[in-house]
Amino acid sequence: MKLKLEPKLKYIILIPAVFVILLIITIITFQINGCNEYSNKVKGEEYANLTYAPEVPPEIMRNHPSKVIVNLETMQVTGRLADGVEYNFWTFGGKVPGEFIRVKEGDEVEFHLDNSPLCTVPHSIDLHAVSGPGGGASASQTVPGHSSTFSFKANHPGLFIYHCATQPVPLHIANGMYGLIYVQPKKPLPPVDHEYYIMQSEFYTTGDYGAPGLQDFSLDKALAENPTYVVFNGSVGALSGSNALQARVGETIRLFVGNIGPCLTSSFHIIGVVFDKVYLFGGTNVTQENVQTVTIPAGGAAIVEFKVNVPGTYTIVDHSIFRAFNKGAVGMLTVTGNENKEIFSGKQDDNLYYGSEMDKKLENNNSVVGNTDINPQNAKSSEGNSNSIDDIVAAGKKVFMTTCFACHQPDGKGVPNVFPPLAQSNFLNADKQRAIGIVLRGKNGVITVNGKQFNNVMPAQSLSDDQIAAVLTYVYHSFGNSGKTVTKDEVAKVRNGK
Amino acid sequence: MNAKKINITILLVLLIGYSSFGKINLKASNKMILVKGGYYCPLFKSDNDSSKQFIHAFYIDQNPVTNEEYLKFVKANPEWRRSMVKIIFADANYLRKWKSDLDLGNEVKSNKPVTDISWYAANAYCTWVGKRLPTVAEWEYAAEKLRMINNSNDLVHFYEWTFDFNETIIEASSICGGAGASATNPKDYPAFLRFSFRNSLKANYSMDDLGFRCVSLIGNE
Repeated sequence: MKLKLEPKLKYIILIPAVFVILLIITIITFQINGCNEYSNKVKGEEYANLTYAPEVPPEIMRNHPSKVIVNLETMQVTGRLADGVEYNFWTFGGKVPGEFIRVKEGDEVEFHLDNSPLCTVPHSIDLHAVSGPGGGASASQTVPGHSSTFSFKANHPGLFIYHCATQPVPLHIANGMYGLIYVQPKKPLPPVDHEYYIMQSEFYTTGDYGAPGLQDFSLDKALAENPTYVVFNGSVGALSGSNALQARVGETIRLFVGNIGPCLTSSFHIIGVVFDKVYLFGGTNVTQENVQTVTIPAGGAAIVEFKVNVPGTYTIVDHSIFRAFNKGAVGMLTVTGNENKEIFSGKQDDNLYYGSEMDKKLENNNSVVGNTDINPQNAKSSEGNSNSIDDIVAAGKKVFMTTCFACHQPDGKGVPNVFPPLAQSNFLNADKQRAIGIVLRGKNGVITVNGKQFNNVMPAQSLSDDQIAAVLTYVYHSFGNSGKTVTKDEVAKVRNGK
Repeated sequence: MNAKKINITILLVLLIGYSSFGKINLKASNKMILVKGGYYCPLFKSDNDSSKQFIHAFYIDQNPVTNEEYLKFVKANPEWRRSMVKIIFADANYLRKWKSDLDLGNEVKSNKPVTDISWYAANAYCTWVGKRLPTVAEWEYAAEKLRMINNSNDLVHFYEWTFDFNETIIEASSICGGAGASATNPKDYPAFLRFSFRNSLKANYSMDDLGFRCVSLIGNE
């Protein structure tokens, strides 16, 4: 019995033990060579997925490099630069900017540059991602109706410019021959909800900004580095209106931004957005967090990431702001979704404001009036009702010369068509209560004074009852007015009345 | 070595405003014009070149060689007919717009410049008529003297083969950085366009906008 049972027991122990050991080995192996582990061996072959701005090809999921074939056609097309303005663009792929190329670090890229037979000049491509003479320029020099092939190893991850490098290079670039290539790092960037492609560039036209019709390239403006247009994605409005970038509240966005120039450095900024992360110059490291504006040199790039928390329209600009306002460097990001009042309240109130200068004057006025014997209040408290009318008028004049004179003028005549006169004013003399109310609460809208219409705003005045009584008494006793006296009690009555 | 170099580097193309040709009477296309000798400043020069180069007087065809003239050439020289030509001397686009070997068809006008011809073909034609292709220097010099070039921003171009079309090596890689710096007139963008076009060619290329004209020298030279 024992002899028979012992081997069985051994097997019962041994089989699970072997199983457990195999399982452990499997787990360890999986962790070493598992799906997150990147293999450096080039496997397979595929065509690159190319997209036009603002779209970006989807993330490359494979965990090994491949041979990637890129076909790009150079074409010369007449197209819209702005409303009513056309330009003979030289392009990669028929649009400006050229198609976005996405490959993965370690990929072997076989590049085919096809120059359309309809082109009038040779073209080529210099990819800044290439390590080698000219970035492929001479290797890809191609006359119309021909196709060139060259290959390179995408060893440097990051975001890179590509552009035509055929003589005269500045003309080829100025006419629209540029785009971006993204060499996705072995370890991809964190996932986001949206990736977009934005390219800033300049156009130099013989006509002024907005001058209609087909515009020629202006060598003079180009040499002066004084562009007629600075645009995102090839034309004025390419990122506005129905072309605006889209996102929903709470989503994260990654922008692949290039600036070809050909001359200007971009001060890339989105109004109302703080970039959570910036990969400056399109490199692979987060160089800074919480950034407002990113500098992007001509022939350079940047990657920015941010989250949108509040709905609305966010304006994308080159914060060298005249380019945005007068040369076209404006785009839009439209965010839809629910408000978040904690993050941004929107407008909560709108009040009249008299200006900091006026505040200072009021402070001075209060201190001066408060420390002088001719202040009606002090006079009353110290000397009963013995204050003469002259003292009150004198105190009122001080208030007038600090608070009222700027608009109504020291002589009370006001400013024609702007500020109504107090001098011999039928409006003033007709109604004392109304005058008190206006000083207390301000006045806006149309009034008629001595037959002339005025339409302006008088702010409510932060004056005490005594001060208002004094200043109105002064005004009624001056400038040929009716000589009425206004008392503190009358002011208090109006203040408390309505 | 020298022969190889010539073989590899011979040729040219110049870019000319097509519209400027329109003003020339094409009926007199085989008439030649005297270009007086003088100094020419090349757009590009190597360290050994002087900035100015003396050009001896020569005659140049007033207009590019026409389809009609070229048709006579292929009639007399069967090896240059479209169906007969060797691919190393002219690529598949050679005379592609002609209806057949000896028929221009309706699309091609007999009095217009012949295009879709290779450097070898143009060179053979010139030899056949007892002339030769102009050098880059001669072409540029004549263009300047005779005002052949339309220097406006007109992007409609017409190019012409030259004898030493790709001898001025302006590689795209060198162009990118310092081409302007090594040029005698970095503002002469039309000249850059012509030089880069020439430099992109191979001698068997045949292209729609590419024709040629001949020169002949004065005296025995």
